[in-house]
Amino acid sequence: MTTRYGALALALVTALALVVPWLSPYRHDAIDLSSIKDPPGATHWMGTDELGRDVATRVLTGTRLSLVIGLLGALVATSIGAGLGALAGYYGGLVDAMLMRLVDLQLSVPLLPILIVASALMRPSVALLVLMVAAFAWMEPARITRGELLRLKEQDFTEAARAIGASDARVIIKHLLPNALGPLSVAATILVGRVIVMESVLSFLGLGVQPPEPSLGNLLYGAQASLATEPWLAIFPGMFIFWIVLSVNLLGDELRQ
Amino acid sequence: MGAYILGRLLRAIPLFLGLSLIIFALIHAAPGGPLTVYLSNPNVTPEDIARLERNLGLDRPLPLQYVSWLTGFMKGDWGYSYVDGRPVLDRILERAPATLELMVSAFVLALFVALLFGSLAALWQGSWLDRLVSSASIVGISIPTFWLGLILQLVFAVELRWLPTAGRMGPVSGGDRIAYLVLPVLTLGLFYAASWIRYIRASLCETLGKNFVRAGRARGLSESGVLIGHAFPSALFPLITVLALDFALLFSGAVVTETVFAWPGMGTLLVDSVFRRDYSVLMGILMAGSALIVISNLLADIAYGAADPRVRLVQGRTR
Repeated sequence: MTTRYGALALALVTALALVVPWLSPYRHDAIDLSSIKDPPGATHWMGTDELGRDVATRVLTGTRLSLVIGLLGALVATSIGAGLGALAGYYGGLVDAMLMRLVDLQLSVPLLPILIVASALMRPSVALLVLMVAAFAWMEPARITRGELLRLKEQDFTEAARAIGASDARVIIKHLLPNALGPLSVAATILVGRVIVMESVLSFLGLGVQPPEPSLGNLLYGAQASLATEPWLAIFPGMFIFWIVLSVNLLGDELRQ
Repeated sequence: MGAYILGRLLRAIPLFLGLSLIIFALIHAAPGGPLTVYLSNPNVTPEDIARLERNLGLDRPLPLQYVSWLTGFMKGDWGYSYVDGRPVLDRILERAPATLELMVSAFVLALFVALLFGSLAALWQGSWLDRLVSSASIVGISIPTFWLGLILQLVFAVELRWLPTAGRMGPVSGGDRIAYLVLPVLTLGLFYAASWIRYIRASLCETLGKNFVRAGRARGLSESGVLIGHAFPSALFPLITVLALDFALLFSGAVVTETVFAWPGMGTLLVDSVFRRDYSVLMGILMAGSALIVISNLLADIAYGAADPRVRLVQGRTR
């Protein structure tokens, strides 16, 4: 019944992120010293920042980057997870035991403190940031894939594929993994939101995406200091993070049903 | 039960060793190594650096450094802060109570809210209350914690002026203590309250449809007898594991919350130390966080085994 809302909300924010920076009369990095710290109004819908830059354009440009980071991060994490989970589920035994211990270990890591320290030490580019977050997000897809494969590999069609001489790799990729895609897609959807939140927390602390490139997180960096005088600088970027995460969580719930 | 606990303990040790290895590797993989902080200081000569490396044992092979660092850690020697020279353990211990205060308060509040609304939603499935609680909980798990903190500050401290913004310093007592605690606890607790509501509701809904619950009703037990005696225990035991895992995850949330509210705990110490490149303090905090996680997982397993004898039997047989 609710199937529409998540997808709809996500499509809407994606469309805004694609269209607004392009249609906007302002560039996201255009400094205008005659309109510093303007509150939201008819000319600047979300106001301007301390350099007179248009917040709406910056927020939607940041939304675009956050969406890309979220999608890539979820894709990388799901691919790693599906690969390792498939090996564990299909071969079982020692491979399975070792990979599952690795999952336990990764799940026990104090995630955010580790990411904070790692990004402070490595000063990552956006690509490295995506990889770093994904390196700590593949466990859930791995567990799901493993569970599905344990179930599927006992079924007749697997036997049939093997009987006509298909290799292990072919059985896994052509016959087993496609059948695990349903539950995997739910996990991947939820991961998009989690990756975006991780990136924005790191950027909020000044450790993730570096200015002048705007991201939803680094737009909030420094917004706290001017909370009393320019609250719009704190409200709008966070509202878009919230919007994206809410849409993917709704979408995840909808896909599950 | 003794054998079960022992088995769990034996599994916790490799887990802790693995975590310590990740942390050690992370810090030593850093470009410039642990002494970066001194490299930019014009008063420190290359000879000083070399002497420091010798004194701190940083010129020895890495595996040897790891072993001596870990044994020192187990004996309570966590090294000294590069920034002010004080023992790392002292610096962490003076910050730990504030962090625990925040975590425990948020945990208790979230659990109370989740039990209340999760059960109500499950008991009146499909009602307006259930729909409201379910919608509120998906909103709750979607609000980014640090932004929620900013918005609460904006509304309750800046606009309404009901509560202090941030920056609890030194000892405070009575009403002030609570006033400083309210916003950080709400910020940290909301996500967990929402996510436990979803868990409790789902688990309780499933249990209420099971045969033993229907059998209880058929035997003429009162509705409250069925709920308290049969449905709740069976639905809520698995929650123990979720709660214990989440208590450890609260540490990550506390780091963010502390930064937003300038809360004098381990989270602000971590972020300060990151910017000052104080590697020994960073390692100490990461290890303390890992130990917290390993211990709460262990306690969860033990509590789960104590609550449900089947768990002990099955796991005892397979190991």
